Amino acid sequence: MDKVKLKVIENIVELIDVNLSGAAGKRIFEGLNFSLPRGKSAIIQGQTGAGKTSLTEVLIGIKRPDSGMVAVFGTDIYRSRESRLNRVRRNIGGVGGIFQPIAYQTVIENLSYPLILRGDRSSKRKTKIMEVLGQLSLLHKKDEQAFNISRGEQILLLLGRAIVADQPLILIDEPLAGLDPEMSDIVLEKLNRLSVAGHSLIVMTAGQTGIQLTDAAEYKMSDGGMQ
Amino acid sequence: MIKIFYLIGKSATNIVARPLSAITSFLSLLLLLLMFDMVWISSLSAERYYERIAADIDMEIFLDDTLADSTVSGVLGTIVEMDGVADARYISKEKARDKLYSLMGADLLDGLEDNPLPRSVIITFENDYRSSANLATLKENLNRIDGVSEIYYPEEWLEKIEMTRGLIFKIVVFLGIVISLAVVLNLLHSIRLSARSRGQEILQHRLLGAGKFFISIPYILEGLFYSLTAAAVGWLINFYAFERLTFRDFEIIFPDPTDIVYFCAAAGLIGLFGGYAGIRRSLR
Repeated sequence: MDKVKLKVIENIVELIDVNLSGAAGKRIFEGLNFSLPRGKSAIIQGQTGAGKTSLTEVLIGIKRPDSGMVAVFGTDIYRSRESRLNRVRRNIGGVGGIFQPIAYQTVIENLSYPLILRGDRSSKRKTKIMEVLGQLSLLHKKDEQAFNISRGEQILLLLGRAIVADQPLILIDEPLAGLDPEMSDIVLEKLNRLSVAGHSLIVMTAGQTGIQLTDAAEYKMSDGGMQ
Repeated sequence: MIKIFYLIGKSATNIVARPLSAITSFLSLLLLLLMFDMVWISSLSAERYYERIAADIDMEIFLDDTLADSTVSGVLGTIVEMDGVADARYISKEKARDKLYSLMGADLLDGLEDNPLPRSVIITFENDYRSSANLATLKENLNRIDGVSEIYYPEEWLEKIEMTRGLIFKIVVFLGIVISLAVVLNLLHSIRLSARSRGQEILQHRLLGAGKFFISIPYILEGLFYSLTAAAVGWLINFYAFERLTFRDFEIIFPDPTDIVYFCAAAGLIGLFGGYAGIRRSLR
């Protein structure tokens, strides 16, 4: 298994004094500090434009901050080699925002890629994927292309992608946006299961969406910082 | 091994998923490589034709009438010893008269008291010696021999044909460079389009921790596939077409099979490079 040898660290995510500016020099983060202990989850609430998606992008290593340190699994991701960053990324799942299913691929193909990266055999992949699809009640959609399934099922598919790869950290951007109440409940139930199972979730949400996770700290993003 | 199978399969999927685009890329590459093949075949055939006509070139040395017959064998010996001379054949006045007779079908010298035709020596050359520079040097050396009055060989014709040969070589090199560039650009754009249409997939794969090289490989293999198959099919078409064509006095020459294999390998390398250049921008 091509899994990063994660350092035994207290915080799996650590942002120290992070500054980030966006287009036209607009300040997104100003001295942002944030840490997430291993096995814990966080719900980050903030209005549109508060920087929630930018935080996801910073944490996955595609938006370099102007200054400060971003450590994920103990790796300073903007000061490490690309191969190291890739190994860190293999342990981060994502739902919503920049994390989307590959539209023209089937549900199974979408779930296969993290396992291919790990070098799992076809039979092992299939067993694992079927098991996860069963957990997510998506077995009947396994051969559907991702653009043919509903938004809620796409969210479940992305959660499935994180589950098959056994990713300890999952970044979730607006998981309930556009979902009907029934699907919202299903998604919330899956998120809670993941949280209980020991995955660390960072959930970004715009409003009072009623997202409650076991053992999750709540934060509010505003004015480039987090309280 | 699992990853290798995946990458090959992914490359095949990329090609099959866009059949029209794949066929367009393949055909445009085939056309370019066919052009190159034809230029190559033409230059080899022209070279063979040149060798054939150059093989007939000889030099005729006319001897002065004052040269005594007894010294002719000495002169002949000196000529034969010279660099590049394969053979020197003496033509006496009588033989010259016979030749003229057989050429004209009548004895034009009938009635004359003396045979006015000069004695001569006809030189043939070693295979690698038939260049205008070599023959000019030889002519200079021959002129220094006592008793040589005049030397004749198709000097201007040889220079012109050598110039033509040089020009053909330059054209082949130029077309080779232009066609190689066109192949690279063609592949680069095909792969770039392919990568653009899969922008979301590439982003998701990067987010999942795939390395740039790993993501690139299916696209590089796609480039390799197009160029290699286009090169191979191009030669098959050429063999098929030229086998059915015959020209009088002009032989069609194909490159050695080894050279064709090298050519296909070079096309493959160009394909790899085009594929890499095409995907590179999408990975920034």
